[in-house]
Amino acid sequence: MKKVINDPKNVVQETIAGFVAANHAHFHQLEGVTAVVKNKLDPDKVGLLIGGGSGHEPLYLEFIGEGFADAVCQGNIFAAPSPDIVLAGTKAVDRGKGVLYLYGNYAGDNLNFDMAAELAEMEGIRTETVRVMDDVAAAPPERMDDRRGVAGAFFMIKVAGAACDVGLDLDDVKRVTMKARDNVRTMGVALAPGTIPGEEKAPFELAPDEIEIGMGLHGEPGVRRGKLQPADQLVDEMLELIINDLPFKSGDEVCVLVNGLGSTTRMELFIALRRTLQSLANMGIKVYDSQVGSFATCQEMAGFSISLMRLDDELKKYYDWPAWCPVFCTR
Amino acid sequence: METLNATQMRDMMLQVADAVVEAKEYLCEADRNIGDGDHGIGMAGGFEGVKQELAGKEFDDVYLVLSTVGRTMIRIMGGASGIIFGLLFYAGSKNMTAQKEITTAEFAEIFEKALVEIQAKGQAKVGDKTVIDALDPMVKALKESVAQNLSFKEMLNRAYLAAEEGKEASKAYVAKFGKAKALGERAVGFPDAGAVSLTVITKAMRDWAQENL
Repeated sequence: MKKVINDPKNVVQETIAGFVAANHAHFHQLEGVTAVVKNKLDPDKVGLLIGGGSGHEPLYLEFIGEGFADAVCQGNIFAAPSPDIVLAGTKAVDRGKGVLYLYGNYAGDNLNFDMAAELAEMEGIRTETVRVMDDVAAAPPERMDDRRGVAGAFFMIKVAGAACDVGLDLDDVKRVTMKARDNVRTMGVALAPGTIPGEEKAPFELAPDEIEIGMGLHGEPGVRRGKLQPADQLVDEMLELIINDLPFKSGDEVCVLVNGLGSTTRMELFIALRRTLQSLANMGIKVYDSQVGSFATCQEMAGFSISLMRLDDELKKYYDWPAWCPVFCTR
Repeated sequence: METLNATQMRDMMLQVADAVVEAKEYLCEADRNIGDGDHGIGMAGGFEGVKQELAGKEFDDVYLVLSTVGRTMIRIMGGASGIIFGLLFYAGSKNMTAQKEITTAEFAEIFEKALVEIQAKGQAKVGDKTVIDALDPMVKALKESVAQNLSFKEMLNRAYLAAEEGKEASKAYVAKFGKAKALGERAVGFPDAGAVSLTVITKAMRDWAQENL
């Protein structure tokens, strides 16, 4: 696969170097580790630390900023950050009020963040953890703990960042973030795979006329493989799986994210969003706000996902809370 | 009683590191079958770091050699394999009183502790298509070898053969963890990539012992 890279070994370091250089007024990299921290941390607030494997940008790297994360810890491509990286980030953002870890529910992330939490505890820093587990395709509702974290992470980071910014204590930040988690659902469709930088082969194959509904961000198998269909049919099939899962009901109020997986154009995403909004309206579900963009990607993977977050007054407050990160701004 | 000293342990681990780095593409291929294809990248990266930490350095504590290996892997690898393979060497060597040399029984104990801690952290058991499928029989072989008063050379040979057998057995299993879990029956026929790595590691230990003991 052709990519604009140097030595594949240096991809993560060089990505972070570019990101920090572009945003040097706001963030800096911690010495010796692939962690990025805000230059200015408000005193007396809970720290929000997010992170995961690299290769999904802007997730998690670029969701740092005012009303977003205080620190981002990046692992190698598709691999969780090591406990040492997370610990360094934790120490950098703890202001005596503790730190919330927010990351995707994958075996590697769980092991590494849990070990970081143990190390932080030994240093007298209190941490709590909330895992993103929004991917409806990954497991049935009765095995929620087996669900992966995908694009719905955006809503959770937005809410958690606001909760920290408002000045809630660690227990309350965790409670609100878990509420967001419990109300977020995502379903994706892949049209073509992405490849790990430096690798020739993609981790899976899809025929030119084939799609896979529910495929994960790393090519994890989805719920159905079939022929490519028009956008509206794809959207309706994905929405049905999301709606029935929570379930979302007529009268509910939601935020929508139509997320590109890497190489799908904004043109296509708007077409998908248009249908998503039409179908939600037909179901009597009220859309409070909608976002379109490539927020959680897998290299040049083609396809998109739809995420919904059901709102109540509290979640709405934090969703609306003024916030800025390099890829999102709300005032 | 036969013992293995710190210098020998260092040399053996350097041979393990070379073997894993060399097996990078083989391990990626094993992972590509039922995972996301990056297992070899992580393992090779971890052992590149191990080589830097061990090469040209003198050790007089066997446990320090292994805790250096394990802690280095945990620090630089990340991913599930960083913790799991780091603990393979770290769990049984951390917080140990320094020893210039260890017996076969102490060697077996290191990996028995690793098995216990990896299972505690990962919650996997034999048959779940994880590294445990190869590690559990490997540890059993180590303990049986100790009970039979076998030499390091023969013990490490049996440990390798047991890990290899466990890896082969993992082909028949449906995965309960990691990215292969979602494949269900489709993962049957392929070994777990972590179990493959453990066979590369144990084979390098065996080979070192055959050549040097």
